[in-house]
Amino acid sequence: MLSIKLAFRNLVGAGKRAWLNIIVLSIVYVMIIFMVGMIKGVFGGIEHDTQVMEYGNGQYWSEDYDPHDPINLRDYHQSYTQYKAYFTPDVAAPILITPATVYTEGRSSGALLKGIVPEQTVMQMPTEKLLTKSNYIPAMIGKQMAKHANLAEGDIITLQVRDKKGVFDAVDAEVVYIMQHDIQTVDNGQIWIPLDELQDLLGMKNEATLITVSEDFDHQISGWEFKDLDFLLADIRLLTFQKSTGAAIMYVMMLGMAAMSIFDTQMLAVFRRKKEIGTLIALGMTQRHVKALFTIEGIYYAILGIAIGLVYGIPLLLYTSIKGINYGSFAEDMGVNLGSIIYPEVSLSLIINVTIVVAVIIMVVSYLPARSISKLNPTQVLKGK
Amino acid sequence: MSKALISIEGLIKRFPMGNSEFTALKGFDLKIEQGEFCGLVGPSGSGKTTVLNIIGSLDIPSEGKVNVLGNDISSLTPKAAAKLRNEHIGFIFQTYNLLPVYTVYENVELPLLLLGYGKEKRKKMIMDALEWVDLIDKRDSRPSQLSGGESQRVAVARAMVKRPEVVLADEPTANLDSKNSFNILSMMENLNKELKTTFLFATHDEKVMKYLRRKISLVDGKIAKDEIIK
Repeated sequence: MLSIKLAFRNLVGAGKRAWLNIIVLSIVYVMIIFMVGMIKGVFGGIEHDTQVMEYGNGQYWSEDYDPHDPINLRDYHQSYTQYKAYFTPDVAAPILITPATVYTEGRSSGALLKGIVPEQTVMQMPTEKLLTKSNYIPAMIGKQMAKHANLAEGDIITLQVRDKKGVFDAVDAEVVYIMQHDIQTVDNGQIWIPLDELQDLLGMKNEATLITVSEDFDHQISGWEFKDLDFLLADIRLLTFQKSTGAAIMYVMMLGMAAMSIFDTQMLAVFRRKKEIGTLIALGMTQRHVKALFTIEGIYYAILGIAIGLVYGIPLLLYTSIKGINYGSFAEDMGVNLGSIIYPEVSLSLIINVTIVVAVIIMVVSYLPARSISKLNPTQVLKGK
Repeated sequence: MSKALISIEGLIKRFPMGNSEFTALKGFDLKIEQGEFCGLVGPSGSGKTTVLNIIGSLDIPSEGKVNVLGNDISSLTPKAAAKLRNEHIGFIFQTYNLLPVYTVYENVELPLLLLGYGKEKRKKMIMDALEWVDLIDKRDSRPSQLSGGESQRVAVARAMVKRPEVVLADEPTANLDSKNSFNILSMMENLNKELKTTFLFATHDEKVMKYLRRKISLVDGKIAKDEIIK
């Protein structure tokens, strides 16, 4: 108890250097919580959004379908006629994919033309918009696609595809809806049209490239390869792991620097305050007692750093987790389903975990320099030697 | 003759020096009784501070027996030695050794905190001690705001506040001018008379010697002369 009291007095009286350490530690502490919260917020969001918007509860892929082989994409399709009766809009959504060339304002660009059942509810895409009456094929695109191709709702685009005869044919489509979500994997370079329109165009009635199913779909489709969420989300999870590891290295470095600063201060304190150590021993403290005093002084850095961090950090973190952080166009260039507004996920368990890690590290770096007090000769340190 | 407060028999102290040893104290006997105002005098290197450190249980003899208030210094555990210093011995140093981040009040309070005294008791004892050294008005000052004489008076108050049986003062006037030295010595002499505290000085300062009632001269680690001054 006495050591706690004296250590606090020493710390309060220690001046600017001590307070500088405490403030640096508090910043590091808040930054670590923020960074971990950001990673959780970003990648937790990406995984969830990708799942509900694109993967449902898994996908059946047609034989040999390779999403990374756009050149031969037109060849990956097969019939689902015998299972069609099971494909109600709420449990299964067949998707037919073919490469296409889009002509807008006299310019052409490559795109993926995707046919989907407008009534489907397996994926949280507003495909019902494809039921909009139009003199052309109703088409739906994402906001990024609209931005890059300079398209607006009501615009007419010309799509060139290889038709059922295998020759290139051009059809017009009307952009009936622009999706406003941030899921880039159903946005960039993609045009969604009603499935039957695309099947007619390609002469592939009752054929699909893949079938996205909900968790209520309880049939087996033979001849199709089922890909579960672990498989479909593997890339995102790998990216999450890589980014988390990278961030972990960064915050270990930040914490390391704060810890080194406190270690250095403590080392210097033991060296500079030798006479004080000798005096405390002469006044009746044991060396163990003095060692505890110095260690507790170091622990106060952790306590005050964390306390100050909590005072300004909690409101700041709460504010950012509610309001989010607008990354604007930076998010669009990431190539993943990163929303332009990111909401850090700051939980009580995250704060407790980071607090424990910071406190333990600071305790260790406070104890290590204090250990040398045991080796000091009281008669020598009384003279400051 | 009353029982000795401090009793030394055949004290030898050696220090390692490179591959060999240096013998600082070469074997002597000494007895100091309660209420004495005495000093170990001699040139630098004669062993005065070493004797004080051993009596203060900050060091142990290489050979011989040192008994302080019934405690055999050689056989004390670190905890028991700390208890002896805490309860019965006050220290005054040449360089004052005040804790820089504490106020005068807090510096004087420290030995009482270690003794575990309550707040009210501490306050009364601190105010008494500050009154002895005439520093009540400086109670909230920090050591950096004090003169050398004032700092040493704080050190005397800190040594005396717990009313120890023995005060060990190592060159207490070496950093002070004549006026401050006499003030400090007069103050200590009064406390010795008033509280019956035993004072043992290590000094080679003539000003201190004038106040001593017993002068123990050390030369090369041996007692050359032990005289009572009337």
